[in-house]
Amino acid sequence: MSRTYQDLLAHARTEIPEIQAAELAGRIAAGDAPLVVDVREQGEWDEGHVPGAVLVPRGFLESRIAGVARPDQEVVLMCAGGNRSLLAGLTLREMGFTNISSLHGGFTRWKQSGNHVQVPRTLTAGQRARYSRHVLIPEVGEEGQLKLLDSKVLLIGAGGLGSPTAYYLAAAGVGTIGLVDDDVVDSSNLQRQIIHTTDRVGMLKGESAKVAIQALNPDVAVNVHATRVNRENVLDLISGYDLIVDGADNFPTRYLLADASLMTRTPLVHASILRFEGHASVFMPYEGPCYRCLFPEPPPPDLAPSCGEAGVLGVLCGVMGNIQANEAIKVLLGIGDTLSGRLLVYDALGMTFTELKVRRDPHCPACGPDAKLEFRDYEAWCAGVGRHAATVGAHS
Amino acid sequence: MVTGMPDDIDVTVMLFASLKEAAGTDRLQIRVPAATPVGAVWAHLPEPIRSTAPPTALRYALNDRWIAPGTPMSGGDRVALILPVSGG
Repeated sequence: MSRTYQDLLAHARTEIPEIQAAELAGRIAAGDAPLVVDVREQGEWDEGHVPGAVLVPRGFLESRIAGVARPDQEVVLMCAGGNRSLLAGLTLREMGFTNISSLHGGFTRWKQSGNHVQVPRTLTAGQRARYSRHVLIPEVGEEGQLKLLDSKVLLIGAGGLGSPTAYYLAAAGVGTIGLVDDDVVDSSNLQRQIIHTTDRVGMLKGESAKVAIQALNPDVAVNVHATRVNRENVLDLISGYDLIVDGADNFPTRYLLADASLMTRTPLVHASILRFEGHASVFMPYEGPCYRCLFPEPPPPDLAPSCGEAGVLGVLCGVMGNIQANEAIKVLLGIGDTLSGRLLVYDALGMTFTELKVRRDPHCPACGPDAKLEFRDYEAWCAGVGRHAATVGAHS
Repeated sequence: MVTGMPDDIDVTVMLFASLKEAAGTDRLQIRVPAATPVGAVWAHLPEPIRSTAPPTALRYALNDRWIAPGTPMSGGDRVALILPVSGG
């Protein structure tokens, strides 16, 4: 015996009790809300839904209901007009749900009655496609992707570390990227600074990086700060950003950023490189150790050659820059275990990762309880510390 | 102390960055009296390193944990000598 759609609906109506919009609204207002399961499709949901409802499209009802409701729980099913939810009720009845009802007139009646409608902020269709591999990861999802799009990251240096970091953060959809660099692209940069190109030699690094980022991902706003970070401008530069990525190429800037990160309580994602070796960590102000808990003082200049003096493997910049991008995304999303409290030392030649655990130093001159945190003359300080009689040549 | 002399212990010293290059190796085994503080490792490094004073910026990790230079070592310990690097 064949049965029509109308037959099925009539049968469902005899089996599944219906609840009126006014009654549901009253119970929600009274804080006695049952679980509302919306069985419409994603696109319908995105245009608005009952506050507090959960979306389980009818096509996934059987497979996903166990994740949102127990069979003995009171469940109000709803759809656009009140028919799909009745049929969904029969399905849940078959699955052993005992306390189910269907919203009479569905979302249409709910809205017409003047009840509150929640319109979720969602990714556009284009963004949903672009970031689909992120959205699929439970730890990121659509919510996490929206968070990344709202995030603002300040990169100090658009060079060896800044290039890969900026590129991956842009690809990941970090919505605002600030680039602080007063240098111009030189042909000797291109062996490692992959965000720049041969035809942009001579261009400001920030502007060159902006060209690459905008070609990659138009979702990203790029702020170019064509300046050297210093005591006078650092607090203004950081203001408005959620996180700092330290890709500087000198100790004075690194110590300046460490102090400014504490002063502004802005997380600092650190990496530094030389030849075949890279260091990485995350400094969460007053939660984990800071840069000066690790290294209270800079090394003497003869033990601290720059990449310009001693050289650096180009690929090392990619490895360490991507570790920074990875850690930045985790800090922004609040997921996983970051490198806070750990210094990661990577040796590209031996292909070893050494992880050293670091605690906050109770006597830290920067973040300790007795610390007097103020800017200093970082250039003079780094030029004058820890000299000793004989030279230990790093590149002799 | 029951015996007159403390037992000697073997420890592994790990070197990085400029210290590794100056020493010509990233790892060396040294034998020191038991309970020698990690800060004393410097004097066991190859020339020309050991005839210089250790830089004040030098940090030590004992068995992968950052520690103060006065911390005593035990047999089989692994000491890492770390200087910050600045390149970017």
